[in-house]
Amino acid sequence: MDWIVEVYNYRVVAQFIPEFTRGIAATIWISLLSLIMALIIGTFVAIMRLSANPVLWRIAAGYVQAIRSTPLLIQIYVIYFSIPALPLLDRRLDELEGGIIALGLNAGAYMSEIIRAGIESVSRGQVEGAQSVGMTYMQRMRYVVLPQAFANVVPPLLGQTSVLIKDSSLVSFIGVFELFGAGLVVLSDRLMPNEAFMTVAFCYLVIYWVMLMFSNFAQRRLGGARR
Amino acid sequence: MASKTPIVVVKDVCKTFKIPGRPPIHALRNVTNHVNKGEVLVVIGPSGSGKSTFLRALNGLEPVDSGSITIDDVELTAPKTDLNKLRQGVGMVFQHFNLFEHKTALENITMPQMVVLKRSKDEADEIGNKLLDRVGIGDRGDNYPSELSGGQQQRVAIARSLAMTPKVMLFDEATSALDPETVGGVLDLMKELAADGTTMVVVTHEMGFAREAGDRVTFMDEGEIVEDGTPNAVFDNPQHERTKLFLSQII
Amino acid sequence: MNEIKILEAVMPFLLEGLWMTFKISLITILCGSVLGFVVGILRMVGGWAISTTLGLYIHALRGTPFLVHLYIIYFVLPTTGISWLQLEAFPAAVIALSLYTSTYVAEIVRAAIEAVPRGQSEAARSTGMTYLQSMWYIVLPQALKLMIPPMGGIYVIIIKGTSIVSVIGIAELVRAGEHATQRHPKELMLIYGMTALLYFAYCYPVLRLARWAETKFGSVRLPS
Ligand SMILES: Nc1ncnc2c1ncn2[C@@H]1O[C@H](COP(=O)(O)OP(=O)(O)OP(=O)(O)O)[C@@H](O)[C@H]1O
Ligand SMILES: [Mg+2]
Repeated sequence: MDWIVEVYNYRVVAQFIPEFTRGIAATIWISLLSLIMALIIGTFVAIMRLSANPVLWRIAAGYVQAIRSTPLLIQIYVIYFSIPALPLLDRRLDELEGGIIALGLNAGAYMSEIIRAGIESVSRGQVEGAQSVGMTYMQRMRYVVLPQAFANVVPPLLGQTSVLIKDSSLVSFIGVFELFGAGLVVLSDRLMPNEAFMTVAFCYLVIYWVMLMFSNFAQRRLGGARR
Repeated sequence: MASKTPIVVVKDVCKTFKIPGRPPIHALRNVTNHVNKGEVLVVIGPSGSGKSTFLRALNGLEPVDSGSITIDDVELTAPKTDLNKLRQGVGMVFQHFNLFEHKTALENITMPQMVVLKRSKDEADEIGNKLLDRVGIGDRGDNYPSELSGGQQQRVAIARSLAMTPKVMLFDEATSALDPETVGGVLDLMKELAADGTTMVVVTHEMGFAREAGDRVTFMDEGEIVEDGTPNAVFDNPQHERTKLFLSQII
Repeated sequence: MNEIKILEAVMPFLLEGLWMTFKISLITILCGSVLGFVVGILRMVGGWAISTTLGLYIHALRGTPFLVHLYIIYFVLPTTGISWLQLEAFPAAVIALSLYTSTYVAEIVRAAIEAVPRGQSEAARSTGMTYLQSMWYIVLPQALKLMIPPMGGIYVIIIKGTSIVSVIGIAELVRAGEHATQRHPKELMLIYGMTALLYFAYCYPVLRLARWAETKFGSVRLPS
């Protein structure tokens, strides 16, 4: 078994299990909080973009374009380093808050596009059917459009959540400890890049696989009722 | 059967579609018409003549530019009219059914009753099942629209409208998306409704239906009402060249 | 006033960084597209073993952050001791980005081929063409058109991806920005704002072009 230790020293990795566990927990926690933020932002921005009001529409479109045309890393820097320069808060954002806000704002833009497409995919005929029985705007949204949009939206939203989880590794640039940061700890403590990053890669793959299973399950459940 | 009490009154209605960079389309030009209680009005005319636009104007799905439409003494075209409330009393059956894809056949009928009319689930279910029986598919209540044939879907759509106990029912080419062998059944159902005294406005290319079930026939062309009269008058003794041309083409 | 002076001072460095970003992204879109095209086609026409292997390749890269790819290529590969795996920062960055890009391109190749109506290949086969002939003469030419618009989206993904290679010391735009902030630590907002603006100036026209191409050629969805 010695040759394995040569290539991948699992005994060293075993010593760092607490770090990796904390890293995974942090990655999941950061992703979860940014996901909630992104879903709220995404829904509002999608509705703004579908609205007839040109001001709302412009603001929403500008936000999405700005996010889509700049790298997440620079968004993290701008929010973490620059927002404190604005006299909004009486204190600095800490790294974790800055990272989560940046991730949420970033994912929110992409999710708004998914949600908008989902709402638009519900055909005009469905709305007219609901109108012809006298439903109000809110009733049409609640009972006809949103339930159908939901089925179209969940699978791509889960895909975007997988991207969010991977993207959360970038908050390590501003010193937030998470899964990738756990790898950095192993690298700096033991100078063993192999053990550090192959393990990190493996952990991300497991998370990815779980998300994939979950997405397949959701697709079957949601698609099942309609086809 | 048809009384003399008008339930739908249409006066001088105009509608123009304006698409930037193209000439405007006059879909309705000074259309004046009415439907009495219990009457079956059949609207015929060539493609693009404005039949659908006329029908959709009757429940406010297509806002009009000028003129007035009154349904059971409520003026639809008045700015403060609550269209949603008005539409409860105007049933509409679409060419492509427009059933709610995420609801079963029965739920398609019960959901609007509960949401719009605030009926209890039990009451809505009872009415829904009765109506499914009435339209001849009492055993398909648990199927989703995608599991039903076109004819069955259209029957559900008719039942969905009937559940709201409408004052008038609008049919926009309700059979033109159906397979030939199912057309007859749906037309028979519509004839039964007509015989029961339902007030109906029917846009159709089925001249047999118009003759048999129609109390009055309106012929439209290029957004205008060209001719209007009893089925016998319009079909056997048309007064206008355009009517003659149209009838000679479709028979 | 002060701001303008500082911008005047740092702009040359930022533009130099942008030039580097431009070079890396251009090389990557070329290498990544070729690789992705080969992977995508092989996955469609190859046998079970080939398509399973390539499917695993795509999932492995899709399932891990780009940052991890970069570290594995730059830090882990050299520990194997194999001499040609001892990469300098620049080739390491280009290789990592190209591998990452290839997974997107491969998925688009597949989506585009599947978007060509079945009747096309059936008609080709009924004239006596072999499977490969119908692919080459009938299906691929039509699929290629569908692939043009999403390539714009991929190019933007690459441009944004280049920001991460700053971490292995490549003097691209983010790195240039970081340097500038070290010299003017009070002007973080100004400098990072300017950096973001330069990315925007590079990416936004590409996205607009892709939108225009979409209306002209039709499109397939870019996988997330
Ligand atoms: N939403 C719209 N935008 C622009 N033009 C429209 C719209 N709806 C209808 N039109 C135009 O208005 C005219 C009348 O259309 P309408 O649908 O009422 O005809 P129709 O008599 O129902 O025809 P068909 O028998 O083909 O259903 C047509 O020229 C049509 O192109
Ligand atoms: Mg029509």
